[in-house]
Amino acid sequence: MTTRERPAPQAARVESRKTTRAETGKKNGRSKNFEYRDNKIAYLMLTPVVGLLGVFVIWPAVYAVILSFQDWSFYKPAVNVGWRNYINVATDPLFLETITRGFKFVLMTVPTILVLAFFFASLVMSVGRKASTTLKVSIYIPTIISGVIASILFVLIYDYSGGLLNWVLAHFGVENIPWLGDPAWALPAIAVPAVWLGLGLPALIMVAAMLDIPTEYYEAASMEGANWWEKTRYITLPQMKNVSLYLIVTGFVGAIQQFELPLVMTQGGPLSSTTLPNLFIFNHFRNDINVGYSIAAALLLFVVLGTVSALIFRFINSERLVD
Amino acid sequence: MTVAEQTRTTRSAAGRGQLRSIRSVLLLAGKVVVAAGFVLAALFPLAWLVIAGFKSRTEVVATPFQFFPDVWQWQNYTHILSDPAFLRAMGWTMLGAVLFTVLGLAVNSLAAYAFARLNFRFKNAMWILVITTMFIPGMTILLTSFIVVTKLAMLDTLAVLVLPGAASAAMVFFIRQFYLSIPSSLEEAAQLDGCGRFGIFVRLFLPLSKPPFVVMGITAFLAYWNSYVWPILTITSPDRFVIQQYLATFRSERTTELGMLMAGSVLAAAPVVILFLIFQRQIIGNIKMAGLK
Amino acid sequence: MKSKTTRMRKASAFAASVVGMSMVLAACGSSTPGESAKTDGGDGSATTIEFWHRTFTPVENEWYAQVVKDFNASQSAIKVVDTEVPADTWDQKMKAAQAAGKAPDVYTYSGALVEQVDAGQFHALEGIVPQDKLDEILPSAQSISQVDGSYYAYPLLLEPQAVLFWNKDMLDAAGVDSTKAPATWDDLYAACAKIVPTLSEGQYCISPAADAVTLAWASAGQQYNAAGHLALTQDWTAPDIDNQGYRDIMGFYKELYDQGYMPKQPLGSYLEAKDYGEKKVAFKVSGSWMMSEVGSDYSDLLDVTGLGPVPTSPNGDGRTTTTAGNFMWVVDAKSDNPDAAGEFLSWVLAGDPEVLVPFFVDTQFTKSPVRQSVQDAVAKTEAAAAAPWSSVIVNDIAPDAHPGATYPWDISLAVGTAIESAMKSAQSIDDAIGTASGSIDTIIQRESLPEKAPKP
Repeated sequence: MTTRERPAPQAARVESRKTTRAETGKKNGRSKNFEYRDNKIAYLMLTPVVGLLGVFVIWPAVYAVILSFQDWSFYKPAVNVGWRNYINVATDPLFLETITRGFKFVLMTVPTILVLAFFFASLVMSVGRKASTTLKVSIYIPTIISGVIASILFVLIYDYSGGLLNWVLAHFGVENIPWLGDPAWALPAIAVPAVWLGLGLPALIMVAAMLDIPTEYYEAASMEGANWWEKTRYITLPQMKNVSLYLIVTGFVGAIQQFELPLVMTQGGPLSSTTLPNLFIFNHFRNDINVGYSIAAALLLFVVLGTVSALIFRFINSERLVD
Repeated sequence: MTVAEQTRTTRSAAGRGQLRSIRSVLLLAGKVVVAAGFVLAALFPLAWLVIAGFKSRTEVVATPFQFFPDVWQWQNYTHILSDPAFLRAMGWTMLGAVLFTVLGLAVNSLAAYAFARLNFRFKNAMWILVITTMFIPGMTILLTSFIVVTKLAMLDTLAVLVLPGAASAAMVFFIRQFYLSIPSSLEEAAQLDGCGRFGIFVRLFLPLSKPPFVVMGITAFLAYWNSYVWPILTITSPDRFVIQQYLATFRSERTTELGMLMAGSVLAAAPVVILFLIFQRQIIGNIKMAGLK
Repeated sequence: MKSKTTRMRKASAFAASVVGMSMVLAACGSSTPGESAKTDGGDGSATTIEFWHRTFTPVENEWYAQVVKDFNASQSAIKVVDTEVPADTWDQKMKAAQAAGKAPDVYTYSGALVEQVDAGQFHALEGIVPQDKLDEILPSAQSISQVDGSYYAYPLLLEPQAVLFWNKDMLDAAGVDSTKAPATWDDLYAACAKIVPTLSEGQYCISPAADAVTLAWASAGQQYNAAGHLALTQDWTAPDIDNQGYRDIMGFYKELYDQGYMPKQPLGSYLEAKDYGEKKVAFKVSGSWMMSEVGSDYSDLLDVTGLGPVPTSPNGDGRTTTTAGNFMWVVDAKSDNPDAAGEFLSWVLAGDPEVLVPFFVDTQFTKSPVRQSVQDAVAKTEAAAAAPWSSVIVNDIAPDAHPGATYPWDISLAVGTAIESAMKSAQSIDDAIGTASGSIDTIIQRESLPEKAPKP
């Protein structure tokens, strides 16, 4: 499941340059030989992928739309209820709260990741080869740890009276803090492992992007006596705009969909303070007698997600035009 | 990379004026501190996990907290390794992950080749169809996928873990990009030798596919190994649990055995960490190429 | 090992057939893995009944396995297949089975029935369980197993869901009377005020229910104690929580939290003895079942453990502070053989009392049977005399326990959320009540509750 959606949009965008090349190649091929001489073998080669995607992605997507207009409890025949499920979801204050909470979580994680990734990349650029390899390998290792293990680990670190964190803080005279028991602390407490797990990839993408910036720019700036900050402000940051845009959108999409961490760490509590949108939907699916509500909620979330991604994209893109 | 780095290092070293040495020492110290901060933040939690794996059941969250165990409990590791349920979950997950990876590479590379090299009717339409699936978020179809696999009577089988995610538009895309970069002159030569389209794919393209296969294969393996949400919906018999499910259940049911839980987590993370360390050069080197993984 | 290889081969064959481009057909064709067949392949005549029960304590699990074995041995017409399902996979597994139309014929169930009956999930027991067996159910267990006068579940047991346990050593050390439970909240505050100074770091006075989900069900008895009713009006047309009783109970939890009498982040689950067993708390609120866990896992504490009713509100007027939890058996509405299912259910739950006696003995007399004949048989066993707490549970706590809420779970949860929210000062008590009233109103509308209210 998770493989499918995560890597997706990224590839498309960063690869856009190559795609252009690909398109050209394809057109050449076609003009050379316009008749579809490969029909049979091509369809045979495509059948597994198209078949699997059809059964496990496309049909479920269509089916979700159908079910969202019905009340179906598995025992009685499904009843068409029009837009009622959507209305129930859209007017449910709990759902709206989870969406707000999702945005809060995005604000806690995505900017943190971007800033840390940027500093990390700047650091890697300024050290020798061996050090940079060590840094890159280290920062990436948490990425391959599962959400479940990270949850188990951080729950123990956050333990109220026997945890590592409160023990460390006690040395500075801070009283025990109920990290996962206090509604005010729980969401930030979950954001920390989210950043820990999520920093590796953006950091290395930033490194790759910085390597792409022609060194002549910096040399020219050095000759004019620019310091580190000026070089960063006038060369690095503008050059990183595309990558940042891409990282913001994918970071947003990933963060607002996070739910493994709260599912294992807090089950959404205390007081729903960690019930992120997908966990809300998941809980409804598990507990509701009818499936319509949860599916309508998932589709509404998809709409929110798409809209916001498009807005971010447009906003930053338009700024770029001004430049 | 090295050129750029060297240039910059040289530049800072060959600075100007008398302040040079003091500033560069300070700069170096600052860098060391920040670098150590990053490495520590990334690795310290894992180090603590490993240490906690040696603690007795009450020491992991004891009050007052103690960092190192009184006695290093190797038996946490031997106990968990002699738990048949743990070994079964590890073996089962390993088997599934290998099947998932192999099947994913097989079906997606076939499609990638077709999209990269063949001409056929509805090529554009099918390409758009495949690419569109990348943009459907998991949660939207999680529930209906679940109903679909239920109807197909796939619940509680390995197939339900392996098949639904095997076809991946992202993987098709990635491998296709690679195939597009293979010069078509090679292909024409092979064609003259009497190879059919499929023959060309098997004899020419597959042997050349190692770079994208390593990157995509490891991505798929990791995704399978770390998956939790889909398995908890579809695998309900404890003797078929995947490893993440085993750990989560262990945590909620055997609440007193924290040391063993830590040891189990270490062992469950070990295969992927080792896999990553072996292939780290390819993975990190390809991050740009993949646009992500 | 062998089954694993077979399964693996099956799976890879499966995968291969997909590559072989006949996926949908293949998926439908090899539909057997994971699904147990409904008819017994061995000897053709027996009817097979699927039975699922949750994983409980080891002794309970053994009892379940034993009764199934005994039933199968007692006759040859029906063969029961027993599946034990871990508690935290139960919801998913049941959902999956229901979606596939393959829910087990008989399974264990706990909680309110209204919504499930309304959705048509359960088979009515009239007609498949003899009427005289249904009439044997004691009045205290009737309301929880009926909807609109029809039985949809047969109860196995009643057990108080909120009992106060205490560590006599810790109380004695603080000079607190360890022979009986603090009677009211004020007595409890006074005890805690004395106990706290004697505790070392990481120890607390009391571990009560502390999160919205647990409070939702575990505090229902206290809600009844403090307010004289639960969260809905009789006719289910409106919330009934904007009153002094509900304010009091929120104030009670807030006091425990603010004074630091309870840990600000739970040290263990309400259901389990862990924090109490590790001597991290002097008082613990849990269900009566915790006593059997103390006996098996923390036997050093068995002799120094006291138990009694949860302290009452000063305005409690002698009302109980606990609900009677229950586990019931239900027959699935889509069962192919409801009669056989009913026969199995009757044999175990409504037949010879001796079938049930070991269950109550092995669970250390922490639960109460729902038929008089079984209660008598259990009381007669020798072991009963050796379990002094059983008289506290059976005579002092269980008899007047409130049967619990019959309205939908979401309403209980709204109340639990309000209590937690007031306790942690996330909202003032008035605001918490306001928010909960709002959500309850929404649920009443959405589920058309007035139509589903129990007929007076």
